[in-house]
Amino acid sequence: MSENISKIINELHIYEKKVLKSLGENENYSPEEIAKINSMDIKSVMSAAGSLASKDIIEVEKSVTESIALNDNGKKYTEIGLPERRVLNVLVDEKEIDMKNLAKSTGIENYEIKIVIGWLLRKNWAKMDKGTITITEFGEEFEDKKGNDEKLLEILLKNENSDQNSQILSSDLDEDLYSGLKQLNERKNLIKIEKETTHTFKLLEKGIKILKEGFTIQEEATQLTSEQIKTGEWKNLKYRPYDIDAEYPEIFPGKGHPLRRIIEEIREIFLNLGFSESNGSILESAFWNFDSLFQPQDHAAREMQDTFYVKNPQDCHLPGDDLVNAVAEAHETGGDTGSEGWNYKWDKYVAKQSVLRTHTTGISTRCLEENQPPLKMFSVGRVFRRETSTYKHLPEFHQVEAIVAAEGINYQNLLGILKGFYKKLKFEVRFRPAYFPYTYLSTECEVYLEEKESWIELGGSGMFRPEVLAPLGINVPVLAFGLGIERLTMIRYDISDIRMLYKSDIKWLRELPIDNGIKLD
Amino acid sequence: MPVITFEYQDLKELGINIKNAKLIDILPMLGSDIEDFDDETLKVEFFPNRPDQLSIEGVSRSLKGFISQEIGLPKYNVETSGQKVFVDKEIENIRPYIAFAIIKNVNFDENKLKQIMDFQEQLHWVIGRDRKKVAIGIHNLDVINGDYKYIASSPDENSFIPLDHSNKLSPREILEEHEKGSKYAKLISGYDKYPFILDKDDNILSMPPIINGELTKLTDKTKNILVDVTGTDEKAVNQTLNIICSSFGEVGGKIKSLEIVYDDRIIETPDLSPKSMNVRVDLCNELIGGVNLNAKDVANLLFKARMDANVINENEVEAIIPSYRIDILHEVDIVENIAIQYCINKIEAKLPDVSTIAYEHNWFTSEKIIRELLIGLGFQEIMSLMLTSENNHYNKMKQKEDNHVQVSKPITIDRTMIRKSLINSLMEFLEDNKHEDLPQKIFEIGDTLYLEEKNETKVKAIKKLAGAICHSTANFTEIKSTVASVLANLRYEMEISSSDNPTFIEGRVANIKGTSKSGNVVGYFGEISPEIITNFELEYPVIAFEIEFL
Repeated sequence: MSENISKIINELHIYEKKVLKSLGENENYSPEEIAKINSMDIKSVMSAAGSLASKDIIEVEKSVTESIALNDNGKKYTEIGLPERRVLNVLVDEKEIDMKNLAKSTGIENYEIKIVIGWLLRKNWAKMDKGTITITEFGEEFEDKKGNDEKLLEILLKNENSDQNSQILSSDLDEDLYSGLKQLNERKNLIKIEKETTHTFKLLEKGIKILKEGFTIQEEATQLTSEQIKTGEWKNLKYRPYDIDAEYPEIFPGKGHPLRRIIEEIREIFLNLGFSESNGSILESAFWNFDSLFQPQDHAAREMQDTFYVKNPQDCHLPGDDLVNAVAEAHETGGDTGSEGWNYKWDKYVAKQSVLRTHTTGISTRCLEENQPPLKMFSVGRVFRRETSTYKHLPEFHQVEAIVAAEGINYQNLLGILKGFYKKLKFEVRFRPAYFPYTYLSTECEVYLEEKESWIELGGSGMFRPEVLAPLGINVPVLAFGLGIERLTMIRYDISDIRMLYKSDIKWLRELPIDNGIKLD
Repeated sequence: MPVITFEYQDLKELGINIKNAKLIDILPMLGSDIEDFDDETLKVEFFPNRPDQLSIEGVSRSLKGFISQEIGLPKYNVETSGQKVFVDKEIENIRPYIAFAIIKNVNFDENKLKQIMDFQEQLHWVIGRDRKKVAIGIHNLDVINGDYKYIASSPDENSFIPLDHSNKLSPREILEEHEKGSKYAKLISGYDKYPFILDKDDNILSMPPIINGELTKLTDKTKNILVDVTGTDEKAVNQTLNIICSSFGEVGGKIKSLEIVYDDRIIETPDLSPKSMNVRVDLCNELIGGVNLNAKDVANLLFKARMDANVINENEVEAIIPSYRIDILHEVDIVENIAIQYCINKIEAKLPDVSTIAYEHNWFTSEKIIRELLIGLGFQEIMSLMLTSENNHYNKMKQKEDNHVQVSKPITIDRTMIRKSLINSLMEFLEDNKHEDLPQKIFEIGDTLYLEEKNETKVKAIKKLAGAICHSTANFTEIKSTVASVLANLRYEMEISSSDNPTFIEGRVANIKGTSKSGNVVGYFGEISPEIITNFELEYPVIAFEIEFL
């Protein structure tokens, strides 16, 4: 216990000690008196007292007093009588007054009429019927009797006129007068009520124990200063121990965006696997985005509904005739690829149309056209789909795409790369057959999500079709795979609204840890 | 993507007896994606290359092969009906192709009727391109009489009662008033004459691709049907008819063919004869890898895929492919079928033996360096969409509109163009976060798009870096220090010149140019004008910079 007390004493600020000591001398000291005795300002006393109170050493009691005084109207009405009193005086004689004559016969002002009638009815001094005001029996009784409000007004006026400058407090009023106060307070500008807060301190058990234990008040240093270090003054100073549990302001480091961190992680995986990075334009010709991938020109995915076509620039230049003709032939008849083709008339103008790329696969076909196998290539980029923003979809998102082109590449290798890649991302995946217009042995990678109790598609893959490869001059098998990065990010960070990644809450970005803890083994 | 909904019970009735849980495991391996399921119902996405699997009968047929319950090419007999369809020459320029089939001995109940409607709609989508390329009509055969006519006729003649309607309407009225009519009007309204299918007595069966007549409506009592398929692509028209006939054939429908009499030729539909394609055994082994199949194995796997197979020699097997399989274009498609039937999860994964040295692309390496620098300066990275609008990108920033990439059919008014600057998204971000603690220091690095006629794509991507700081005492000096620090750390010599950028307070904005051996940058920085701060409903000073890498 005593060790506990001395620890508390040790952590007391010098101001807290001063306040406590004064209270030890006289518990009835007011904050102002304590300030005066210790040459402190009242703010410091109050904050030290607050701090002592938070440690249950003293108690700070707050009391609020309301002092009542007359306002301009109040003074006037006390002297000439409240308007309803003036009407009552006339009613006592006349018994009833026609509304129309009210102002004239009683001398009240026009603007007072509504108020008068309200209060006459409320005080039950008079009744109203078809425009005639009639005095009640109850009203008659008040010929010589004052209402509670009137009594209070008189007291207030008397007090104001007396020489003693004493205050009338609401807490001093008896029940009747207090109800009068409530009535007066409802009326405009009759009385003013001033609230005043006073604080009193009271020692608590812990405070008494501390005082009994005793302490010295020594000037203590707070901040270690450069001056103190240079002059050696620190040797003579006592540095006040701090409360190590005290509140602290939060600071936020600059950080990379969570989506970007995943992109960087993916780039690193590919670079580690020996894949070189490629880049392409987000605005592509339909030729590279669709035609080079053997997607027939009437394919559903090419429709305006799903793809952003571009108004400016409306079309792109096509690559050289050899390539264009080879692609046209693959579509129309299969050319010399061994395929039946799609059997339709391929249109060069459809291929020239500009689109916001719907996938990054066009980068792969461009890369195959420009380079010779063996080749391992990846690219990360934004892709666009004509979707409104919802929790599930955005009109643009990121995709990563990779290909391996080499003699002897096969489906087994595709599975190998996929397995390795996803393992690096800490996902155990299963494979199932899928369909993409530009691949055969098309395969979807799925991961099982416990919380959703279902398999979630992570990314598509397959081997590029001969109809894709032959026009590009590639005669080795090519495996290809791609995946949407946002979905992966959402799984990784457990978020259910994709919009969070682009219309981010800075609080989320600030508070999201950059890793799950550092592992050193 | 086409999704079909059915009950486990439907499959049981078709003779498939496997446990529900097992079915959930098997279906994906056949090539599908189970969207949802409960104790009774399954919602399964099949892929658009396999429209034959968009009917429950088609699913059952594939499944039976996959589990070896029933293998080989399904045989559906086609007998000639002796009836004819005369094709009017005038139809040539409107909707030139038609195929007919009669199917007898069908059984409909309410469930079956709904299934056939769904199947028809799925085919309209997947092959028909929403009825443009192919449209299907199915009729009650017993209320009409062959031969039939496929003619072009005036929109004001040939009034008939359209499906689910009680009054006769003229074709023109149907396009204007009928729900289906107005939905598909665009497919024929541009022609002087519309297509009609009539029977011998000039009863109107349908006005393809819009609507059938009420006369031939299917009911649960219908026993015999006539199927018409019309369209603009003859191959697709025939394939669609084959898929429908094969689906009915699977449950005992008796298929009868008709002669389609064109002006210059006569053909007989449906033609369910299979096609054949040879597959090389060594190619299978090479492309799949990790398997050692012989010709007999290949043949057995083809049987499971519901094909027939003839072993020609050790290395060659002839695959006999049913007419409903419209997805087989190339030998590699056969290889894929073999792998699926082998079960792809039995194939061992193996890394390729291809060594290459990886190179990062400078476009992205540079981003990494710049990001490290900005994070070091205490900035939080943000990412925003490249799609924006003229109002947000120019007007709200008090910038003059200039030539930029515009989307032709925007989906919302706030996504009409591709950004040329990042500053506006930073302001939007600050607006979204105006109730969060200050100071806020944010940056974005990313691509912007400029027009460049001489490039193949007629655009040029420019990499930009922008940062913004918002707090109560943010000022010119702070942003100048920031920019100077960024440029110095990237080894640029900084030159400052005056600027009259209306986004910023006049006299508190500067242009910068940075030069280095490896390239130059230009940009600007300053105090954002209070008018713009107010445009974004912010209440504190904002300072910002943007740098573009040339």
